Amino acid sequence: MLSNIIEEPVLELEGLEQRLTDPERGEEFLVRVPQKFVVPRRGVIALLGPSGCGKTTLLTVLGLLRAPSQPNSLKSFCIWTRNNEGEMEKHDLKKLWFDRNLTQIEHLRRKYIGFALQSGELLPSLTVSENIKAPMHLNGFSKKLANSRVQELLSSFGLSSQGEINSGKSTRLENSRINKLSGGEYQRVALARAIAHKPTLVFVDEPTSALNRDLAWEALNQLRNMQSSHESHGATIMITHDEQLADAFATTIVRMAPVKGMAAGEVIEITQTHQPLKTMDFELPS
Amino acid sequence: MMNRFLFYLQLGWLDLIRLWPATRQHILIVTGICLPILLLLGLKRGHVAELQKELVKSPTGRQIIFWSAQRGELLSPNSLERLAKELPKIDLAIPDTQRVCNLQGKTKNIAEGITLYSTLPGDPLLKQLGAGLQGNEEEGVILGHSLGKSIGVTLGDTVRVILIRERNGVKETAETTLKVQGLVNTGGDDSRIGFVHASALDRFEKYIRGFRVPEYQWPAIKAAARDGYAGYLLCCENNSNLTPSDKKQLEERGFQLTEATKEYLELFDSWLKPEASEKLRFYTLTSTTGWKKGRDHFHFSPSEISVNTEADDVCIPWNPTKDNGSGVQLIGMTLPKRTWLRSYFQNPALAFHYETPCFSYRAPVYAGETQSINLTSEKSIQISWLNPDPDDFPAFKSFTHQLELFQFPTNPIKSLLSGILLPWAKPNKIVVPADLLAYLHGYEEKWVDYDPEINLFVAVAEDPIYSKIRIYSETIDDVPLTVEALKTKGFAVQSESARISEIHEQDSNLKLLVLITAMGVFLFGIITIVSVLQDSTDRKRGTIGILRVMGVSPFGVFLTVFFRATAIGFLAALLGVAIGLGMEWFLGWKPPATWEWIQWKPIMRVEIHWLDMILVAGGTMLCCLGGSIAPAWKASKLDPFDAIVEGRFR
Repeated sequence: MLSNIIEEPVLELEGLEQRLTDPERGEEFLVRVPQKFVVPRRGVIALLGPSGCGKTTLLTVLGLLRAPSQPNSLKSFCIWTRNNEGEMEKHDLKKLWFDRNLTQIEHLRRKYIGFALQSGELLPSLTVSENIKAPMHLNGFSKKLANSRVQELLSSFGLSSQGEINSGKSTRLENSRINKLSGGEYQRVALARAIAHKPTLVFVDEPTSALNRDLAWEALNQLRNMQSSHESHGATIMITHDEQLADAFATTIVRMAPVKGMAAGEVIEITQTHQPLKTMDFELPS
Repeated sequence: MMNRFLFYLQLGWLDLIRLWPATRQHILIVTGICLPILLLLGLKRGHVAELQKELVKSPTGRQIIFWSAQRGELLSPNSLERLAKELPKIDLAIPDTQRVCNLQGKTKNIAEGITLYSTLPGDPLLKQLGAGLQGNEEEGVILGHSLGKSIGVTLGDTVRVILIRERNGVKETAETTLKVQGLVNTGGDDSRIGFVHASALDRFEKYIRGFRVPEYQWPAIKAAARDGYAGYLLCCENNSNLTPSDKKQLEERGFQLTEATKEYLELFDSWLKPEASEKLRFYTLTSTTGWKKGRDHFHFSPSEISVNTEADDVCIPWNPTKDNGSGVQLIGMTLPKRTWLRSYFQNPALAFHYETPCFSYRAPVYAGETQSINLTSEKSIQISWLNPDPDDFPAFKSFTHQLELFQFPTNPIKSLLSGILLPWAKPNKIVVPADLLAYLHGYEEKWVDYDPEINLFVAVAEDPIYSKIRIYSETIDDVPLTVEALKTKGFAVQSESARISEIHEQDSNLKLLVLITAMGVFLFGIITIVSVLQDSTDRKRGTIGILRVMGVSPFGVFLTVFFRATAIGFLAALLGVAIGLGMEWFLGWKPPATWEWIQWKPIMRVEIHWLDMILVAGGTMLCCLGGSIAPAWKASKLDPFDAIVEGRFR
C-alpha cells in the first residue's frame, strides 16, 4: 500500500462519505473514499475519473473548502504541517470540523493550502504581481520577501526571462491587469499564486485546460519542481483527465468511478506510479 | 492581523478604482436617487418657501374690510386705534376713504376729478405694486403712472392738490402741495387715481365739510355754527296757561316741564312791567336729566313746541345765563318780532329777534358802544350796542310812547341831554341774542370755535366717521381669527376667509401627497441602493469565492464589500451635492436679455442649505452602509467553492 512506503505523510483521509443534495431537483449524490488515502510529502497525486464521479467534491473536502457531511463517521482526517521551528505538526481535521472550529480551518487553508482552479479565478482588480502577492499579504510576508518571491515565480513560470527583466518587459507584465493576459499567462499566474506562500498542499483542478501541451507540461513541471523539490515539504493534488500527463507527473494516481445503480462515486483504485520524486526534467511523449 | 486588515481595505479600494466602469455606474445610480431628493429639499427651501411666503403675506388674502352695519360701533379714528390694539395679529388698519380733487403738476393743465384714496406707510396693496409712503409720509402722494404722465410729474416732483367746497352757491378753494413718492401701475391708461396718507385725506375731508384745517391754514367756511340750546323757557299768561294735555304731550316728547315762575320773574325783574308778576307764568323745558350740555343740545325751532300746545305760550330757546368775564351777566333772549310777551317788557325791543346780528347786546341802561367778552385770557370778542329798527316792531307803533320805547341812547351825552337813562349806571345784566349765548356755551364746551378771520363762531370738526376700514392681518392664517373677533363686535365683515380655508385644505392635501411621494422616493431609493449593491456583490461571487478559497475570513469579505459600498455612497453624495449646487446656480441664473436662445429657461430659486447637504450626503452614506450590510453579510457567508464554481450540487 501507498501508506507503507511513505514515511512523511502530509494528508490522511479514511472513511469519507460525502453526501451532496440538489435542492432544486431533490437528488442526492454520495462520494465515498472507503480506503485509507495518504498524501506523502513531495508527492504529486493525480485524481482521474469520468465527469460527475465526485473528483471536485473530493478536492473541496481535502482542500478544507467544504465540511465533511458526517465528520463523526470519518475514521481519520489529518494534515501535517511544519511549524516555525521546522517541526512537523499534526492537525486533526476530523475534530476541527466536528467542533466547527472554522477559524482554525480557515487559518490552515490560508497558510498551508494553495489552489489553482480550472478557470484560474484571479482577482480582476489586481495586477499580476498583486495577485501573486495576495496569499503572501494574507500570511504576513514582508514586502521585500513578497517582491523577491514574485520575481522568482515570474521567472520560474516563464512569465519573464532575464532578458525581459533587463529590458523592462517583465515590469510591464507584472504590472499588467489580468484582463490583458493571454490564457496561458493567466493559468501560469494562477499556478504561481497557488504556491506563492509555499503551502503544504497545492490543489490543481484541470490545470492545463487553457494551455497548449508544451506550455502545460512546462508549467506543471515547474510546479512540481517548486512544490516537490527536496527542500519542499509540500505535495500536489491535481484533477486531470489526461492519462499521459498523470503518468508523467504523478507519484500516485487515484481513480474514481461512479457506483453502478447508485447516485454515487467512489475511489476505486490508488496506484503508485513509482515516478522518481527527484526527476526535474522530462521529455514530452511522442 | 493588521496586514490583513489593510489588505482588505486595499482590495476594496482597488476594486473601486480599477473597475471604474462598474463603480461609475453604481455611483451614477445612487446619485440619480439622492440628487432629486436634494433638489426637492432645495426647491422646498427656495421656490416653495417663496411661494408660501407670498401666499401667507398676500395682500388680498390678508385683507379684511369691515363696517359698522347695524350693530357695530361707529368707526372713528379713536375707535380704529383701539380696535387695532384689541384685534389679534393685526399688521395694519387703514380707513377706506376717498376724496375727489384736482391736481396740477408741472404742466399748466389741471387734472380734474382725481380720486385720492387713503393709505398708510407699509400698505401691503401698494407694497405689492412696488411703492409706499416713506419719510415725511403725510406730505407724500403716490400716483398712477398714467396720471403722473398726464400732469408731467415724476418721482420726487411736487403736485398741487386743489380742493373745492361750495355752500349756498359760493365756491371756495384750498390747495396744498404733496411730494410724489411713488408712481404705480394702476391697471389702466385712463386710471386717474392716487394715494395719500389717511390723515391728509381726513384733513381734505374736513375742509370739504366746511371746517377749519389749522395744519394747512385753511379757514372754515364762512358760515356760523349751528346754535344749540340747553332747553327752552315757556312763558304763558295765567288766563292761557298750559293745559294738562299740553303738559302730557310735552312729557311724552321726552321733556321735563318744571314751573319756574318765581325764578324768572326775579331774573327779568326790573325789565318787566309791574303787572307781569301777576299775569305771567314761566316753565323750564329741559331733558329728563336737566339742562343739556356739550354737543348734545336741542336744535329744533321753538315754534315747533309752541305750535303743538293748546295754550298761547311763547317758547324761548334758552341757555343758562353766563358771566362775560367782567361781572356782567349775559342773558340770551331772542323772541319773535311780534309776540304778546314783548308787551310785558318795559322796553319791548329789549329782547332780540331771530334775524338780529349775533355780536350784539342791549340793556335798559346805556353801557357803552361795545362790550368785551373774554373767551380765553388771550382771546375775546366784541359785541356792539344794537338799536332796534322801528320797522321791526310795527305792532308797537300805535302806542303813544312808542318813540320813547325805541330811544336807546347811542352816546352818554345824548343820554344826559335826553334825561331818559342814567348814563353812569352800569348794567349788571345785558341781553344778548340767544345764539350768541349758545356759542359762548359751545365754545366753553368745545363744540364751536371762534374764527377771528371771518369773525364767526364756527363748528368744531367732529372726528371723521369712516364708512369702511380695511385691515391686514399678519398672515392669511390669522384672517379667520380676526374675522371672528370683528363679527363678535357686531361689524359686517368681508374677507377671503372661505378662500383661505380652501387653500388650507388644498395645502394639507398637497402636503400629504408630497409626504407620500417623498416616502415612496426614500423607500424605493433605499431598495434601489440595496439592489444595486446586491447586484454588484452578486457579480463578484467569483472574486469573493477565490478570496474565501485563499483563506480570507468572512470578516475580510464583509469589510471589503462594506468599504466599497461606503466609498460609492460617499462619491455619490459628493457628486449629488456638486450637481445640486450647479443646478441651484443654473436655475437661479438669469441669462442676459440678448441671449434669446436661452430665454425659455425659467428662473427658479433653489436654496441648497448646508443642513440639507449633510442630510442627503449622510442619508446616502447611511443608505449605502445600511444597504451594503445585507449584501456584504451574504457575501461573507458564501460557500467558497459555490461562489467559484456555481455548480449543480450545493
